[in-house]
Amino acid sequence: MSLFGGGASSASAGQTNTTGDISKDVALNAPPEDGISDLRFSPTSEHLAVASWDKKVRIYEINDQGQSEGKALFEHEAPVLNCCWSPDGTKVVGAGADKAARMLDLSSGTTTQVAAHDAPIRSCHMIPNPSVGGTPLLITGSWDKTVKYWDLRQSTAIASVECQERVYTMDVKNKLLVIGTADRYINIINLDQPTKFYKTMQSPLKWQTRVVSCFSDASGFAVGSVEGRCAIQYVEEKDSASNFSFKCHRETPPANRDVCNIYSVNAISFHPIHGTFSTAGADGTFHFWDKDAKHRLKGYPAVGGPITTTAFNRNGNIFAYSVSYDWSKGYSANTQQTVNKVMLHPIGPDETKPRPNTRKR
Amino acid sequence: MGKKRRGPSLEELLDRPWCYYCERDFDDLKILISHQKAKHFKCDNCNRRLNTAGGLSVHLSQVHKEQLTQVQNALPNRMGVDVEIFGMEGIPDDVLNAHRQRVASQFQQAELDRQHATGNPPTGASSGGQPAKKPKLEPVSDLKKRLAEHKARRAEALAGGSSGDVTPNSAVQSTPTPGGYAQSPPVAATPQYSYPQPYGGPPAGVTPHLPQTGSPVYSSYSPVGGQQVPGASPYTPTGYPSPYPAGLPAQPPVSYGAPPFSQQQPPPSDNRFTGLPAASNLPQRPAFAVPSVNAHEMQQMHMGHVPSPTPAAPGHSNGSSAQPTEHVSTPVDNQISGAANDVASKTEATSKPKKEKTKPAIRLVYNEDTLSPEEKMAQLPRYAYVPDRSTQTALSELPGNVIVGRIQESDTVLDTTH
Repeated sequence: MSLFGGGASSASAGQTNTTGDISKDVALNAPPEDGISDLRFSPTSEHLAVASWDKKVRIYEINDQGQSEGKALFEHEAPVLNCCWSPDGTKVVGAGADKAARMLDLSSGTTTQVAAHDAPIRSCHMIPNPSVGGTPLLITGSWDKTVKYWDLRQSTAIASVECQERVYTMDVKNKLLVIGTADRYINIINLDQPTKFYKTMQSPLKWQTRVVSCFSDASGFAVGSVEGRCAIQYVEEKDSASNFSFKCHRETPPANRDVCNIYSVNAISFHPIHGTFSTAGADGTFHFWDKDAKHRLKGYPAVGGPITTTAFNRNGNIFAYSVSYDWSKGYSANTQQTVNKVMLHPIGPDETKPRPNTRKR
Repeated sequence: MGKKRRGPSLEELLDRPWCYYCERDFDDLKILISHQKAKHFKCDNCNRRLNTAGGLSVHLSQVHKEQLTQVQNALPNRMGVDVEIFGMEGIPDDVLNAHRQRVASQFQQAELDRQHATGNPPTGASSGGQPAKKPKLEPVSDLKKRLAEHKARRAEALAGGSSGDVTPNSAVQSTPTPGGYAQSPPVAATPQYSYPQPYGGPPAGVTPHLPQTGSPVYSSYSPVGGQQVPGASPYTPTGYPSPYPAGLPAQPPVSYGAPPFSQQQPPPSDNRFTGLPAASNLPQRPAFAVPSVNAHEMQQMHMGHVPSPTPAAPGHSNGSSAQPTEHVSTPVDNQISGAANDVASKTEATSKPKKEKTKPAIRLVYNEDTLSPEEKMAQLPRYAYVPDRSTQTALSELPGNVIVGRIQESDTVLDTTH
């Protein structure tokens, strides 16, 4: 399988065992004009939805060579903070600071508002309707401290859940919905009982929750915090012995060894096939990890700016990451020089595969 | 007519494999290697035996996250990790040569000793016209003389409390070198003997003195003696010190074991093995007197201290005939100070504090725990949501004056950038 023109062997030529190569990464054509808030691959095709602070959601088609072409676009009245695909890949939903979620139907090209909150909507996800034949459901989490379920046809939510704090991040996998809020609350919902918290906990990390991401097998989730740390947390108590956290996205500048700069973990994405995962941070690097072996598979050099969000495509051979300003250094660091791009990284066969444990004596 | 083998030849001794770390020698290279694995290259944490110090170092760092600093059970100067030793391989040339020399000299020493003991001629040198004879039995008078000498030596050793007995050089100290004792007694012996007399009461030999000067202390507390001296008041402080300056020079060094000294015959032979007349017939010793090396000296030599030539070679010290006490004291001092240094360096090595890993100061790049970066961004006027309904302004949604202020600041930034 030749991806992005070059074979896997050529992709691995310039890399050592632990340091990956990003020279083969391809930039997305015609990226958004402002910061990129979210990336989502279509669950059914080679399309990528990109939400941006320029109030637009763009949909690109990506071919085998990694070349991309803008296919569609829809607009919000305020910056878009999140976007998602319907499970059948026919609809894209954006959620934004205009306190609304808007859906683009790709077949008809029409945009409709499908959800409303009292505050900006930070996160949105779509799940298949549990009742057979129904339209997919939309889940939105907002800074108004609620999570709401929508069936896309009514203007009122079919269900709503009050959270302790503003919703910062959500992720869903199969029946597992994990909600990370301000003040380090983490709520776990079993979607069989969507209005009830299956479990509520404080984040295992001591600092603001930045991102949560469910395991590929939905048995747990990873938490990233602003303090360069990532926690692996299993849902069930019986697995709690496997919980752990690790430090990442920290840097000691070579000029000044006394200081350790700790960057925020901005994005965690799980590989859909291998179950390994990526972390990406404000330091502008991303890494692939194996949570079961508890070691890093690959690290990559800095990409030239903070990475705000990441995504694997459906079969796990493209890793997309967005380089744009993530506001971690305040407004003064947001200059015209700030890079704003989406990069597509072709994944070699050995980059995300868990290594067999060869270190046995 | 097969010749009886007495022991290994020098070549056989030199060929024996030996351990670089502890100087032990072994019958077989295999045994040496297993010794090194068990004694020097064993991991204390998991009992795994590695082949080399380097292997152990890698094992420690990878498996136990520790650092190998020294090889265990090694001589103090052989603890280094940097020398890669496997069996006999990797031993530095200078160490190898030193070891060979040491083995050779020990072999020669043993050979000489055996010759002395048996009276046999050195191997291969028996063609000399006058073969050495077996030692004869001594006449009784000689035996008595030697007994007296021995007693004198013992007495001196006891009184002086010198550590001569335990040091390997004790033989030297007590070997009567001609003239040495004739001069030394006034210096060396008197201070030693002066003690027991005032406190122990008048010894038999010095009676004439003490009754006169009187030991005020004793007489005052034991009036039974009734030896009150009218001239000296019992409590006057002057009475106390006075007897000794007067008495001391008069103390003859002959009080205890001195008779042998005074009547001392000329020493039977300047050789160490005084009782053996046959010894005088022996060939000249090798120019460098092979020192009898005990374990401690061996260690010292490894550490680079060359012990000062042991005065044990009486044939040499004979002529110069310096004060024997000097001779003895130097090596002993060396050894003591050497041992002290040894201990000091060891404690230094062990007490050296572990290198503290200083934690770098931690700086959170995004140091805000109540607002996410997106919230901050969304509050900027650039991203502010102004709905169509004119009654509802975005600013009314924004909390706090601080943020309004910030918005104005960023307004100016926007002006410059746009």
